[in-house]
Amino acid sequence: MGFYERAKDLNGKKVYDVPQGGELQDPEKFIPALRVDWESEDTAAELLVEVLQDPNAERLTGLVIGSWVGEMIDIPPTDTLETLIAAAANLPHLDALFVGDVLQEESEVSWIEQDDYSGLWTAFPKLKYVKIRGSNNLKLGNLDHANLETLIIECGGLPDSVVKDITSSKLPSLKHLELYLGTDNYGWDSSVEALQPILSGSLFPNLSYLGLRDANIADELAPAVAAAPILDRIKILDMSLGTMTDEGGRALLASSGVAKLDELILNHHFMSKEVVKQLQNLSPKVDTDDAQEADVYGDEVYRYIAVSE
Amino acid sequence: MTNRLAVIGNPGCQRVEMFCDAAEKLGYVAPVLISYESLLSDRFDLLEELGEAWSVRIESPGRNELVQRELVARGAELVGLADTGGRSIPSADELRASEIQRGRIYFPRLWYAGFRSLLQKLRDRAGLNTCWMNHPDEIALMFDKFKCQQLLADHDIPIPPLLGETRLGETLLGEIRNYDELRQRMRERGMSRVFVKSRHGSSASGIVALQVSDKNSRVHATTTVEVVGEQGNLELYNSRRLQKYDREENVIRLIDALAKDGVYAEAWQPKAGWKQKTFDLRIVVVGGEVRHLVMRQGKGPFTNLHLGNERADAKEFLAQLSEEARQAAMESCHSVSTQSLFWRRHGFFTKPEQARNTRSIIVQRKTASKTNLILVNQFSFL
Repeated sequence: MGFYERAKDLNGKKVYDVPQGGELQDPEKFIPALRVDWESEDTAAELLVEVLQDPNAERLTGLVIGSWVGEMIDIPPTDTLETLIAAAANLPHLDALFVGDVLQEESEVSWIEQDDYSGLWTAFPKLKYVKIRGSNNLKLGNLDHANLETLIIECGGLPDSVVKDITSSKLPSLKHLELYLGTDNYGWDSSVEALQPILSGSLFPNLSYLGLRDANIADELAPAVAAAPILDRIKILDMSLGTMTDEGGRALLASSGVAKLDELILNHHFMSKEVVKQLQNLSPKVDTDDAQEADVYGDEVYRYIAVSE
Repeated sequence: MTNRLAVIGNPGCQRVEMFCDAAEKLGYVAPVLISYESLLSDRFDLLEELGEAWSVRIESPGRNELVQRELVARGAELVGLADTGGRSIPSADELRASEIQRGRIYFPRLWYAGFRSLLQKLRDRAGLNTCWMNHPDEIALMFDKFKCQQLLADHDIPIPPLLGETRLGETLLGEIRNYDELRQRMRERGMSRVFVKSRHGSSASGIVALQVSDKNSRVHATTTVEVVGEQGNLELYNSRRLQKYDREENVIRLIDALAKDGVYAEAWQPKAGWKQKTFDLRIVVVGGEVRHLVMRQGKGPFTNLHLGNERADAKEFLAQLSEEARQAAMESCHSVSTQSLFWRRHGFFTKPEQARNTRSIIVQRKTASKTNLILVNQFSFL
């Protein structure tokens, strides 16, 4: 399953749709979303060009890009990104960007075609918040950015190449790193080993939230996270939406690092009541909502991550 | 004596019982029940016995294996081999002797042919002044989704774009004969997400939500249909658990098997989302006013309640809509109601004098950005 509701806010600001020919609302308080209807022949790039004509455009602090064309399948947001990057000088205050506010009903998340974001980081040195949905052909490029505080990638399966882009990045201000790992059916081809630079704490000196969500490898990942030096730095660990069972839960229970967290988020899991109870007794605030039950067909047991197909 | 009622249905059927209860509560003499079984044994004299001043309601023939089997067998007697997708079908007698496994999609085209012929007989044998609460011809129309869509489109009632040949810039409806033809049409129309629907299905039976990527050579089908068995001996079942097919050979098998009983395809209109779920609204308009709303929410492409989806609070949803959006939605319901009543009154199904007291039920879906009316079911009430 996937995403069902459009972004209502971004980086603490309310999001609203800009209709064609519509005026921008107070750019310091509200963030416009550009999206085209499924039947439309328009593109988000065209809407963006139009928005850039608005006298308030240069005060924009954030932007949401929804469906960039009516028929999303196979089409990356290249035109929109190119237009955005070309207009960087006219958007000096832009600090929040979400590309891919696309719902399950518009395109399965694992079918969203993404793009190369290499040019974004130098074009927008003030960016603090970037969220990208979809990981097909996603490239983050040379991610060297002094001010980026939040990086979120939502997808059905995170490719190893993107993990490598992140683990070779330079993001000294990063506080919030949220990655949907997904399943190998939909693009996950990385490994716990590849995530080690994140877990070891050698990156991101200011990280306070780490989300390794929607992981089909939650149980395999849990012992590595439980022993990770990064736990001494972060306050919130989010391993929600995955397929964690008692095996993963017990690994977290035994971790001294986990015990020192402020918050542990594990909703959508396959753990037993007993393990959930023990987790609830830990000192961090623990979210174990949305317990799932495995599907059993004869000898086969199936557990599904929350965001897949 | 115009207030005496009869109902055609299967004894024990909940809808029949609820109708009888409602009639009695309203002070009518208990309705006479005419069973499908008796009609299928050609006892149409029952109708004549009713006299000429009865109101007759037709209920569903479903959930009765004997009736289902007999309708399929009658269909086999009526339909030539050419109309059954070229496959060999059992004879009527073989069908009568067969056992229908629970949930099996069992020769829907034959079933429809059998049911339609029964409805036609009902119409022809009924007394001249029989007042149909739901006319047999209209029921026959509604059990042919494709023909029904066509009729709506011909009368400018909005439906989702259908996949078919183009004539004079308009979409001419054409059935999809197989998977290859479906992909061909999708390519021509530049569509990558479609709904494939069984012509004679209901309650999400025989429906496939299909998306394809030419660039990545991917297909993904979500459906209520479970395919069992090997090529040449496939059986299709309705499943309450959504089935997903990612391998093209399986999707081909599924679509080709369904197509033997008639399918058509239409654009997959994205539904709107609310409270982390997809939803649609079914809206009943009576006498030009919105009288009843059902909001259904779920996580897959289908919102049918028997598929594990939930009712949601339509009032709460409407309350948070802008006044403008709410007005637009209600206006659209009203306009379709007016339009559909107009053509129904002037249409070829019903005599004007019978249409005088009609009301319409309008089924409506709110999509991501605007209100689209997808289906208008016509019923006449007392």
